[in-house]
Amino acid sequence: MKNIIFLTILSLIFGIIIYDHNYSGVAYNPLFHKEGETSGSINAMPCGLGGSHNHKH
Amino acid sequence: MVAFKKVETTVALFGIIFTLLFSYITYSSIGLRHFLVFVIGIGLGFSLYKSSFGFTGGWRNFIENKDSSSLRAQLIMLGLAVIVFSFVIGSKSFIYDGKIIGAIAPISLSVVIGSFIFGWAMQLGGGCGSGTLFTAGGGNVKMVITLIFFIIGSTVGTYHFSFWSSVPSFGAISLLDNYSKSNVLILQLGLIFFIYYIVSYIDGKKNINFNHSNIFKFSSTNLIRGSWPLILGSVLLVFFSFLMLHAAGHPWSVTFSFGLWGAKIITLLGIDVSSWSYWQLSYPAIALENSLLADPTTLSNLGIILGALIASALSGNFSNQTDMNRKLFLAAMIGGFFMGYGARLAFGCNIGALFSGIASGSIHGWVWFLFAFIGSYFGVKSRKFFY
Repeated sequence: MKNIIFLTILSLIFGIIIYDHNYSGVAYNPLFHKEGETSGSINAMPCGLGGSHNHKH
Repeated sequence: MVAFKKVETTVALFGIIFTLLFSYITYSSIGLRHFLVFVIGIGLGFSLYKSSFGFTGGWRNFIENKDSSSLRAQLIMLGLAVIVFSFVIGSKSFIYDGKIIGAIAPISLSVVIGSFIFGWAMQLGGGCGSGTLFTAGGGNVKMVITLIFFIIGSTVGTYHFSFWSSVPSFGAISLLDNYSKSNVLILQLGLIFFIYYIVSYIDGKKNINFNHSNIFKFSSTNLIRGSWPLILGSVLLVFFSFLMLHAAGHPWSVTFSFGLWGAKIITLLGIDVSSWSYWQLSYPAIALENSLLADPTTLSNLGIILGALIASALSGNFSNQTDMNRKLFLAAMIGGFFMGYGARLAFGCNIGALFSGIASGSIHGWVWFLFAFIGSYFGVKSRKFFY
């Protein structure tokens, strides 16, 4: 029974993620380099500061 | 001969179906690199679960019993990662046309306070960043509570971002940017070896059965159903981190997505987080605007949860859930919340800041290690009230 509840909750969370994907979509692919881009300056580390090359303090 | 428990087929099928579903969605509607990040996450989750590779229990074992097994495996992992990252960072990915960057963050007062809080809280919550994910994925209800409050704490941390970003800071220092590769390797590996020697010495003095080889021993030859030695976890985590560098373009990171998930949830509730200074930074702003599946940390975290879920089902351990009581619930709430909050202050958790930071040659990773360990010492003392 515990497993069923656990997996149901997990399914709901996954469902919300898929809903968000359909709703928000990926208008562009900004978190990665653009294809053909060689400069590291637009890449970002997801530490929340806007990327390693964008640390202001 | 090790007797295995029965495979939990329903749970395994559940994990496989969602793995296939997310693989299809990421590959078809986003792209190859997102798909690869998700698959790498599966590998990380499977490896973390099978080798029970957690920082929290390992540090606690050393603080309480001077048992250095897990800490030594972590140091070996760190040493291997330092070698691998030194050669990969700044080079071109073999998966896409672009350079790979490291996890470089400032050495600020917020890192000192945040890592201390994180280290303290992870002893209450019962898991670190990666540990919370793989144990929650493995069916541990208490860790699901920890994860929920981890998300809440991360979200509150993003709300207070402007305050914490104004505290004194030395700025970001990358060893690889300032010194030659060979000097960085000698310095970092020397420091790791020194810590390894100290913890082994302390362990050897306290425990008569101390043996360097205990982290290498296999309990079973069946790698799918049996548990793995810690050293296999160390090697595989470095291997998957290497693949992550090439697929994502940056090191493995965990906690950014928790703040993002929280922000998305409260946006659904009608609160506009886009006006918060954190969500106006370029990377977080873009992540908030896009689908969660466009965020690589979300994808690798989903992979870790599903990888651990499949591993636990194949081992027949998914149903082995912790019995909850009020004190454990409270510990999970407090621990989860403050881990989330601390991770935002410290620019990451044991993975994004400690592992990826040190391996990338960022001094903030070492600061994180030191203060999180001190925090864990006090966390172990506080834990006695709840456990």
